[in-house]
Amino acid sequence: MIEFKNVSMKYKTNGAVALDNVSVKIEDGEFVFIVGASGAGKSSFLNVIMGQEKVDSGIVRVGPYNLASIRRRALPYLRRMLGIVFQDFRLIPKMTVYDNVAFALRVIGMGDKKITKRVRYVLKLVDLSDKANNFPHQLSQGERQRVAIARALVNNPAVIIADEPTGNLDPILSNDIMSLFDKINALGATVVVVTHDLELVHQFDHRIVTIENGRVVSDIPSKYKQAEDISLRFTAEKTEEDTASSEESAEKEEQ
Amino acid sequence: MAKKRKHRSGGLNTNYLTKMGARNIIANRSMSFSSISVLTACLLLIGVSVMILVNIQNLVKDVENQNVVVAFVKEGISDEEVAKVGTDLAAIPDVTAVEFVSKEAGYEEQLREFGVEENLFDDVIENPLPHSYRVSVSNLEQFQITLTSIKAVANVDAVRESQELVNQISTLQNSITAICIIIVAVLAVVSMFIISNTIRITMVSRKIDIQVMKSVGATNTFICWPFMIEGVIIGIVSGVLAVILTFLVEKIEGGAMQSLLEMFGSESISLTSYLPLLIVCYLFSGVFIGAFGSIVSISKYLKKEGSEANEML
Repeated sequence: MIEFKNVSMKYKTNGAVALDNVSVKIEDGEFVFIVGASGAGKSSFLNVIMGQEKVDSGIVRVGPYNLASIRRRALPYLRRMLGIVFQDFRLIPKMTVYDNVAFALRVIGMGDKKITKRVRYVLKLVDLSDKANNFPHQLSQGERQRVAIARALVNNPAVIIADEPTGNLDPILSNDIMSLFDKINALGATVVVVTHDLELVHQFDHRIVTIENGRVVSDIPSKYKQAEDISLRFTAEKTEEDTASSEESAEKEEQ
Repeated sequence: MAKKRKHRSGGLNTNYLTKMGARNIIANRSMSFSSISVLTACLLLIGVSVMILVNIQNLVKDVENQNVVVAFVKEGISDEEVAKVGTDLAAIPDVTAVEFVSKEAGYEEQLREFGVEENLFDDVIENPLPHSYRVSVSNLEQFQITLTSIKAVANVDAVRESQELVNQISTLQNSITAICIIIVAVLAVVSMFIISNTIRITMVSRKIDIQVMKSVGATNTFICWPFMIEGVIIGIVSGVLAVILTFLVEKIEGGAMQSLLEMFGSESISLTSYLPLLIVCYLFSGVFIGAFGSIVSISKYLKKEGSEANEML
């Protein structure tokens, strides 16, 4: 679970407001789009989740960590809970696809056998098993982004965070990547995607949080969630009505 | 809600990290080459300074071992009194040995030194030399005090010494020791600074790699290890090269050193006699300078929390 409660923060460089009294709660297993124009505060939102920047006021919780009081020494362990996907992929050019993905496991000291098994599994999941020995420069943009996603996934993180993951991709590839995130979400991971591509966002049925000038201006649940809420509300109302009518008839019977 | 993970690294894969460090040296050939060149040059200069220092110390020891002071005994005293002079001389601090030279032996020696046949002047002149003692003095810095003590011994008539030479050598030894220590210290600091900057440049050039490492949850130890290994390997390679170059320097310039030392009646010490010590010094200095230089630059870089090292997005 990720929770922001009345979070405010200013940029250290120029003192401008980055986040202004933001309150958002993302439950485990949710898929959330964070949308907004450039400079709206989306990246600051992600930086705070990753423990990159400290907030000036408010409470931020990511899983078991309280980021207001997190120690620098604990940051690597927080980041192991998160799988981060960058717009520019951030693949290490001198490493093969396999090594780029395996790298995230080497960092946590996993044994070679387990690494091989896990890397093979995620490469299959992102449909890149046949490119394991290629270097990043030998791949297309879409393939590179899939490698980056595989690297984010390989450690089996609770949360996948993607910062403009389709920023460098054409619409068809963007759709593919989003479908991949959907698949990952279906496997149980919480997915937070930051993007400014509203057209793409509306092709998928997920919660949309809009940030403008550091403030959350709208938080629209997914249509499925809306329907679920309506159905729950309806059920609750119906239960109340039923209870009331049965009480009424019981009273009448007594009279 | 996920349970808070304990702060465990799952063990550092040191083999992998060491390989990474070694691979980095090859991947960053030009940087590694410049680091090795600078460190080798610095180590070589340190080695040559040590070489000069060792030889100068040897020279001073040789001069010390020579009988610098000859104490002439008064004429016409009894044998017991002559023997007492020897005992009194031996009791003086910093006097390491006292050798009696009878007037006959001294005379023969003088004639030999002048290249004259021993019996040539036998009928012409009487032996003018008195009995004497050759006194070995160990600490040339205290020479003046020792000399005064020798002169003060009862029945010592006169002394012959080469105080000027002693003073010059003592001054020379002190100056060269001081210069060598300064050179070694300055070069060590310069080498560390250069290595530290080289590693820093390497780190900046691998900014993306470091950001990726951080983003996947690498601890600072994990990030630092390959850079430290890089520094250590640079140090070892430089140490080995410096040993080879020192041999060459000795071969080329050893003759000049020998001639210089011969002027003072000494010999240069062969490099092989202190080679193991030199190798240990080179490797230790190389590894220390390399590792320490790396650690300084890495910690400086990683401390920049919120700056370029930490800008993931």
